[in-house]
Amino acid sequence: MYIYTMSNSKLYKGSLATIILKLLSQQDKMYGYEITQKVKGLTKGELNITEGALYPALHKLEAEGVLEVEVMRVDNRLRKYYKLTEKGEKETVSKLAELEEYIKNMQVLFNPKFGLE
Amino acid sequence: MKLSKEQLQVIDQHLKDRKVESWDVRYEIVDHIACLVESKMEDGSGFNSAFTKVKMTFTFRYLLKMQQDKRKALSKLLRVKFVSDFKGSIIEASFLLKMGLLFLLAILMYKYASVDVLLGMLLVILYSPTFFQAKGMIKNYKLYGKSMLVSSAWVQLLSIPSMIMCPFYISDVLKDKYAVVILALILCFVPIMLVWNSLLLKEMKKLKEQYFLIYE
Repeated sequence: MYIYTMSNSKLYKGSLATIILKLLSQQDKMYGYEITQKVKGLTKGELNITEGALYPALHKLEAEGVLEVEVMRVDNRLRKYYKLTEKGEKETVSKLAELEEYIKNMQVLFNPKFGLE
Repeated sequence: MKLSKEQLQVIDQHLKDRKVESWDVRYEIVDHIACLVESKMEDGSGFNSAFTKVKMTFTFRYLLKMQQDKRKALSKLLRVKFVSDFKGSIIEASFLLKMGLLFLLAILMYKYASVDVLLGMLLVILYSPTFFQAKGMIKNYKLYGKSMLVSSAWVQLLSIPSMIMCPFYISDVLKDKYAVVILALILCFVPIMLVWNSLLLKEMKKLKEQYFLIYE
């Protein structure tokens, strides 16, 4: 089970890393559950990130040096917070630019006036 | 409502029952499940009922793959750390002095008749630290699972030929002009083992400290 929505999950799969990076660029640090709830809240429940998609993506970004972790003790348990590294900040800028370009191209292609229709 | 230590241990035990052994995977997932359970308990449900509901929707099956990936990543990280630690160690004055003394002992062994005594001493000097390090690792490996021991096995294996060679040397089978060369090779394995074991112990100590933050 991966990232899913009411419509089509495949469209969102490739954007998961960018979503994580964008959220972390707006907040100093976040933990896994917090990320899932933030996405759910912002999209009014339309987009749910499952743990099966989130954690492998977070660990991959950590291994690539894009994210760093901070472990803190919270409510009787340990909590792993993720935050952007310097490399991660640069990566976020480039990923967001890439995504904007993608959205722009999609809009051109699917615009009723000039696009495919 | 926040979960108690006992309730967190129930979640942790559930993960262990599903073969999720790695401590660093477990503590993150315990926190995630605990958040889900706490949110379900907000409507007045008890812990058992909330946890049962979470278990029904949580995708546990990806955890084993995640554990495997984390172990691979850790092994890679340890190998990289080992190379840098090893480079750092062999240029230290104390290390060079220690190795110089060991080579001197090896030459003395070759030259004088009381080879057995000197070799016995050498073995004690060389293998005592390794023995205690190995004992410490075996004692603590459960915190991380078998991955640490498995990943270090190749280094430990290197020491076996040298341990086999030594009794042969004692029985004078190899007491010829190649003996010093063989002994020199044996000595070369020792710093590799010591640096690797100390790196693993350092890593295990870190994990153990985190582990006891919550469970002790």
